[in-house]
Amino acid sequence: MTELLPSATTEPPPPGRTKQPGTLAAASPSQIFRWKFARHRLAVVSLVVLGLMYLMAAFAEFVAPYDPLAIQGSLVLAPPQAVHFVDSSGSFHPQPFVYQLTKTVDIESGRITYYEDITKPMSLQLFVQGDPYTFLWVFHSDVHMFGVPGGQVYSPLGKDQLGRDLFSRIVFGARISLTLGFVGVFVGFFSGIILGGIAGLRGGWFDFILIRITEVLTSIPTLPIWLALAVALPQNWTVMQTYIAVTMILALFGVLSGASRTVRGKFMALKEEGYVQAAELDGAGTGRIIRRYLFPNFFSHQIAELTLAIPAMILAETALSFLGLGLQPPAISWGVLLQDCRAVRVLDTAPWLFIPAVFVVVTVLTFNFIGDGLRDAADPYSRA
Amino acid sequence: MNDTRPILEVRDLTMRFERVKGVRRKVIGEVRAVDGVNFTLHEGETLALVGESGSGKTTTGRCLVRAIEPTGGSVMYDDDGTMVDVLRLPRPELNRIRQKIRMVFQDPFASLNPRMTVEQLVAEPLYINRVVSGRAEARARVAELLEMVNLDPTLMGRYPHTFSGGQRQRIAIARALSLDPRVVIADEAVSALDVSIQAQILNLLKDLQRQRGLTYLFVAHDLAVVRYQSDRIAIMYLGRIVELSTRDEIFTRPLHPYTELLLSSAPVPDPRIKRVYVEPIGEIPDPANRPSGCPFNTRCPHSQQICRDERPELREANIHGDSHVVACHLWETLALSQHRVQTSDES
Amino acid sequence: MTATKPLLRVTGLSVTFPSREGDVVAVERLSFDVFPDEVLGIVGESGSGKSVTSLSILRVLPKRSRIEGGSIVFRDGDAEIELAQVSADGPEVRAVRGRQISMIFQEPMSAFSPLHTIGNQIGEAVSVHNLPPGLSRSARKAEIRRQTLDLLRSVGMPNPDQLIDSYPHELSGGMRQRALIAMGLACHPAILIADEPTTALDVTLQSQVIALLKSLRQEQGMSIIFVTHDLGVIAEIADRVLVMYLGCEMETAPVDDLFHNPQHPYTRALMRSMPTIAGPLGALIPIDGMVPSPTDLPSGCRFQTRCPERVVGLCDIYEPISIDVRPGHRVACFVAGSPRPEATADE
Repeated sequence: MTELLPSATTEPPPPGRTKQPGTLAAASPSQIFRWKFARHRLAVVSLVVLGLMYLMAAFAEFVAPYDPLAIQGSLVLAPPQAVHFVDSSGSFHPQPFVYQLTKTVDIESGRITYYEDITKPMSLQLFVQGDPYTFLWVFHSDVHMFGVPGGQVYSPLGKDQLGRDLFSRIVFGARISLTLGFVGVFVGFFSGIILGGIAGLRGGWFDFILIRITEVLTSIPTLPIWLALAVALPQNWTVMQTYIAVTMILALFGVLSGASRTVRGKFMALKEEGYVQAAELDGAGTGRIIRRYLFPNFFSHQIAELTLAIPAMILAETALSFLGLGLQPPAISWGVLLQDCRAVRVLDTAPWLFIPAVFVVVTVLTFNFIGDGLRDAADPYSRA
Repeated sequence: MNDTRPILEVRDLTMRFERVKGVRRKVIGEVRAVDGVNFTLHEGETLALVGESGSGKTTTGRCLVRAIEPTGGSVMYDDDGTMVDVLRLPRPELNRIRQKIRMVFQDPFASLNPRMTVEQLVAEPLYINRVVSGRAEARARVAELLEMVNLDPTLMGRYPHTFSGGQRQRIAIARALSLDPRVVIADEAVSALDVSIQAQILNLLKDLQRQRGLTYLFVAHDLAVVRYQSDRIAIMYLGRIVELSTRDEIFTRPLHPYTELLLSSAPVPDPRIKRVYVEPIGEIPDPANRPSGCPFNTRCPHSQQICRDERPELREANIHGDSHVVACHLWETLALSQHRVQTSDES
Repeated sequence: MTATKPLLRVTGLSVTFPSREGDVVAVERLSFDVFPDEVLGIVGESGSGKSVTSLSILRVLPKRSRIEGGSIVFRDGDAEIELAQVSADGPEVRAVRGRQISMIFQEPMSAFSPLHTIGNQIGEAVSVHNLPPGLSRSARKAEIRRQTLDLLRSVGMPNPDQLIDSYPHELSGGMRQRALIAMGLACHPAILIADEPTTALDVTLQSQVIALLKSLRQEQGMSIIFVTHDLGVIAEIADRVLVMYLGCEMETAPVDDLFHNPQHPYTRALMRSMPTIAGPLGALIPIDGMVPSPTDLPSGCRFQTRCPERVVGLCDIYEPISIDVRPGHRVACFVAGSPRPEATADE
């Protein structure tokens, strides 16, 4: 009849003095931020993938099996080669290998076809000697992460019409494609905070003008602007100069039409917060309020915005270079690599030349997932 | 209480918003959140400002320290013997006065910066005003303050979100007291708390007042809370004070029809008490569309022509010795005490 | 109570929410009845589970919550409809929701769509449930409008013919609340669940709404489940009261018994800590400590960590079950009479 529930005996806290905090975690907001991010699986995986890509770009000379500019006439438009573990006689080799390629040319159509020569296996090894290079202007080496020994050539992801190794070019192209976004966005980030912050906090005519500028900029279609800019830039500028000019302009556009508005909006909302008013009544000046009360409270939000702005920049650069308006060969970026794909015919004859696009897509996706994760982690009200 | 010195004298305090429209910012209307408020706060007392929405009580409280800038009137503060007008002070002087008149806000969740630890929060005023010379001194002071509000000082390294509503309010009080103020404005400081916690904070406030000789301005909408906590009560409606007297007078001998309405509307936790319920007419008007004459005339069961024509000023109605002012043309004839709540035990 | 069969019988209801810190038990093994033509008040502070309970009846809990156990049986004539064990979107619940059992909430602004007139929205409720079949299109419209106007009149809307075509934001707070009640009554439900309908309202408006609900209840003979934290409101409107704390029932009693003969230490402590506008003016005695976190529930009785009458060795180990101490008056407390655990071998 009497259904009793003995539970574990614990010592209840003495009534009177409020000793215990209301909820469990005594963690700081930053710790909570990191915890919540870590629970977002996709974001964490993306972080790893992106990290690997940046490593790849940093150590491009090492990772790429061949010099990106080196012409390998014998393998013009060679397709990607399969990696084998089982040889023609059916025996298994733990060490992977590839076959040498031989080619035949059809006289009439000019079409080149490649065949694997199964009599000539080449083992695929790590830390192979290959084309020499200079790393960081000082270190000389000729060791590459993987490849076939003895100076032979093979085609990991295919070759272009000049016989240059696509994979190596992609690896080197990552350097520009993956970093171009950063420079512009950081410029944008800081100017956005400053401009948006002043507009949000002080209001008045500054705010009015800023908003009008952003409205005008967002209503102009972007591609014609880019075309106009590309034409306006002096032709005799070096690759580096064009690169910097393109990023700065793209960044400024991004800032003025987007980021400053978000910051302004956030500041306007935050300044009404009770704790900001309390700080004002404590005697805190504007500088202290921005530093300790406003900035920390939107920082995580801004980081998330940042990670979503970077892929936009990457796509912009890729598009421009693809159209021939941004970087030009011999500079290597994924957009430049995609210039080779401008003819539809390429889909038929050398579809592997589209692979740089895959890298672009993966990069953009990973940034987006990380941004999602950061945004969820920054939101104090989201359910973990 | 009346013979102690006045610490704050508020005269004709006004706070007007203008409604503007369009790019050219054309003025199309005006909202008078505070419409000529007069009262005196005596040292050591607790004065309550009571009203419903649109009464202007919160705005009044905030105007006193210029958290909102009022548009007119004066707030005279007793600064070491000299009366200074807070509304006319330059910023450095204002900051100095703001050390002595502090506020505790309603929402214990919004008034503490989520990114600062309790130690940082309570020490902020100390650092900003250069009251302490280093972290060690600040920490000692914070520990003292936390003890004063019955919080365990070892928790000062934690962040606000780890505390309950009642504890956060204690933190807010500790922060308010850090600069040794003379006046504390409690802006609905217990309204967002559970009943059982509310009592803890109310008792804490009373103890602190006794220990430190504080003066309170208690902004609230709950008459029951105000009954326990105040010496004098000012009833506000649509930006004006309509009645002001001692607590006992207000509860036992109210003179203004709106006070009577408030008293009869407040639910009493006793099913045996049948209220003499006066059904109020309509609702509180939009402050942008104030009625002419007496602001309460549209809802007053006793309203006459004079009430529509002429706005009543606060008049003395000292029938029982204590100061009792009321803004009603008809107060003498109404004899409202007859309509009061019938309770089983009248004081 | 007598031989009247309850209209709604909740038995052993348990509801949990998943959270980062583990499962939160919002309601645990709660049982209560609602009889025809009565107002059952459910009172509790934050974290008591009162809102969750009211949301569970109509199965409108947030998606991530789970009903772990128990049954909710609604009696419709001779039929008994189980609501807890079935799917939340299933036919049983949908037949009852909005028809025989409807609900009104605290914030009328969020219950209405800003894009449709209130006539439209109330009319929709009417058209779904109330129309005789076989009407032509224009006859339908006319009938809907007629019934909507009737509803608006019955909730005391002034000028229903005009207001029926207004948008929610064009109405004042009180009007919106009345419109919300009208919508809840559209189908003449047997039970109206009111979840803190007056909490956000000014006190004068609150008393109007309470008076309205009381008169509607009499006219329509419906039952009301009134959820609130305000004991004063409960004393006004409830016939019987269920007191909850941390998801469990503490005490259930007729309203007079509850206020004049409370048996549970929590109820008693709550009443001692509440300021009132009438009655003797003693000191407020708060309840010590704070409400424990729902993810870290105390062992034994839920209230024991703060209970002034706690018996160590009993209350901190075992959970008391509800028992009738007087007719119709149940308590879950060892000190109040719940059966103690039988002497066990290790004693």
